[in-house]
Amino acid sequence: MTERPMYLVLLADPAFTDKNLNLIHFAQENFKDQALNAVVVAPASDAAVAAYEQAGLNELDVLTYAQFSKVKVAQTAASISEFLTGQSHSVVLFGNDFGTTSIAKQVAAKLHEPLLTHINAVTAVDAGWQVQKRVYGGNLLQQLTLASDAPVLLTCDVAGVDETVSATTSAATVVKNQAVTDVVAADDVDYQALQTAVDQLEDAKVVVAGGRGMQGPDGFKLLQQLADRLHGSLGASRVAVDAGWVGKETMIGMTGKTVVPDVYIAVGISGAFQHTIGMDQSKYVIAINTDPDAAIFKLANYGIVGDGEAVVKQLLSKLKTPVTS
Amino acid sequence: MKSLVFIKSVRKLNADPQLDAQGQVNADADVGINYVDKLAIEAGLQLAGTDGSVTVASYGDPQATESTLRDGLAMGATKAVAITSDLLTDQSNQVGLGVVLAEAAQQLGDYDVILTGDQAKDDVQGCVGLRIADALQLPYFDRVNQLTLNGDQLDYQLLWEHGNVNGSTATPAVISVTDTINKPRLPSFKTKMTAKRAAIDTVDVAKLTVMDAATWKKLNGAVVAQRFVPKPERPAAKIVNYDQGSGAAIDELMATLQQQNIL
Ligand SMILES: Cc1cc2nc3c(=O)[nH]c(=O)nc-3n(C[C@H](O)[C@H](O)[C@H](O)COP(=O)(O)OP(=O)(O)OC[C@H]3O[C@@H](n4cnc5c(N)ncnc54)[C@H](O)[C@@H]3O)c2cc1C
Ligand SMILES: Nc1ncnc2c1ncn2[C@@H]1O[C@H](COP(=O)(O)O)[C@@H](O)[C@H]1O
Repeated sequence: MTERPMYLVLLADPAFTDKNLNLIHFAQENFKDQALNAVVVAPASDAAVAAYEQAGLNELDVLTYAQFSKVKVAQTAASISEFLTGQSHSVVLFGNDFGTTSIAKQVAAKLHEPLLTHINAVTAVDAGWQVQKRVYGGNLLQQLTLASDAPVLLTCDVAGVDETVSATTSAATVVKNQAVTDVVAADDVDYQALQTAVDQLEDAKVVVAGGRGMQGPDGFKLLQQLADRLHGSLGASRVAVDAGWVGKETMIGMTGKTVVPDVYIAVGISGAFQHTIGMDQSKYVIAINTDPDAAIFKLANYGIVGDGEAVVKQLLSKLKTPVTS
Repeated sequence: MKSLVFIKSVRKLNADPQLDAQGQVNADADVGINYVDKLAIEAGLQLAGTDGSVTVASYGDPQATESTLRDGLAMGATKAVAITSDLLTDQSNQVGLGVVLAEAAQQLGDYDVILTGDQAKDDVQGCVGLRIADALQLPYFDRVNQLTLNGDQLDYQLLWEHGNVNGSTATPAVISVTDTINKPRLPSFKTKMTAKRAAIDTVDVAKLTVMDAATWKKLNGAVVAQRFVPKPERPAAKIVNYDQGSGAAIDELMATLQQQNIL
């Protein structure tokens, strides 16, 4: 399709959850039959090569310097920009998490190249690509046709990718290692990790989320039990987080996390778009709410009109008896 | 400190946006100031001190722009500027807009910091701030969740993966604020009345001085067509009433969980 090569930017920082394979899968699903090149930035090359050489990529360029850390945004962006300046390229793909998005913005500024964010699907059109994103609180999809062969940076919403997609081109990856010698000075910043550095919510297969309708912290203890029983993670609406009933790392939505579990159970959540934008791509949605007209029922597959606490308590009592199937 | 705050009019999302035959959003909607942009104004007001100022500026449909700018004045902004330009089309809005805003900033001058919201709630692009910084060659910080004046530097805290980053920057700089940085003040009756009568300045961006033609072409020409489509319909939910006595809803819920392979 395009003459100039496409690149994926993979930031292999062991300190942060590695979503790079998801990005590779996203690219394979969306840019079918394209040769995918990747530039990996990593503190050392061995682990990076091992992680990606069998991933169905065409060429792997590994940029290494011992001090690499994603959190040094300006430094990281400078290394990527310098690499991309030297390579003719068309589309360049980044992940969509906070940190990577901030880095992508700095790269776009340094290269004076366009950046489009939150892309969740791509289709081939006559002269190039049409990319799609969710806008207006998830109510509309916006489709943008890119100029053929133009350099455009994209951050990709990889939450919905099917991780089972396997490499279509199994040709061995060509690996080029490059030690970065002229590392720019690190940003003079200080990073404070929050206590809950590792959280599973974004990758959970089951999310049990509560809102104002859970009435208080005790309601959330019940939801936590349900989440544990279903091997899932606890989520919450902003109202519940602001009230202090649960930690802010559980918040789902515009200001919080985006989750795409197999099953999302929303208890006592009204379904404001600021919340649903973070969960409406879930594969199966179960809603429990006292109000039969709650907006959340519009995007549910199964709904129970009733008191959240009572429903969850009864469900837990049934779940205590082991299920034989 | 003198702030220049870019604010956007967005439609209120209480009704589903309607599309015309070309796949464009009907413009007749009820609009208001993008929520996070109020927080950018508040941040500017807090930085202003006694001898500072806050200018709000906006590009868009003339009527919507005027009402949004008056909302900004009602919060306490000292000056309001409506930006017009023939350089943008529906397509180029996505990428070129930030450059046009940068040019407007250049014409206006007289700022120590440029503030924007982190993203507009309609198009969630989040790129306007970076484009302004790129065109004006200023440092750029996004997801800024705390901002304080420290001598002639700005100390910032920004939200990052699993934590916060603290740093400081010289001015001028471009800063995009999060929707948790502060609580925007409410306009008083008095400020609303003043805002109603205040004059609104205009700046027309007819040509670019902040960027060469080739770079502008690369940015502005990247998107050649743009349309909206409705989100795919979800099949209607099966909804049952809870009756604790019979427990039927719970049995069905258990069966559903089994069907979904999570039990
Ligand atoms: C800029 C901005 C960003 C935002 N970002 C987010 C975000 O990221 N995430 C987010 O979640 N929100 C966000 N919000 C807030 C959002 O608009 C809603 O206010 C919020 O999602 C509502 O939370 P809720 O559903 O828990 O509460 P409510 O809207 O108050 O709904 C409570 C629901 O519980 C039901 N209920 C009451 N009692 C019971 C009971 N006993 N059993 C069962 N159900 C019961 C009610 O019928 C109602 O439907 C944001 C808002 C703004 C302005
Ligand atoms: N038309 C506009 N006029 C003025 N400021 C804007 C406009 N569009 C976006 N902005 C600013 O840029 C921020 C990010 O918008 P966006 O990049 O569209 O998500 C907003 O929060 C505003 O501060």
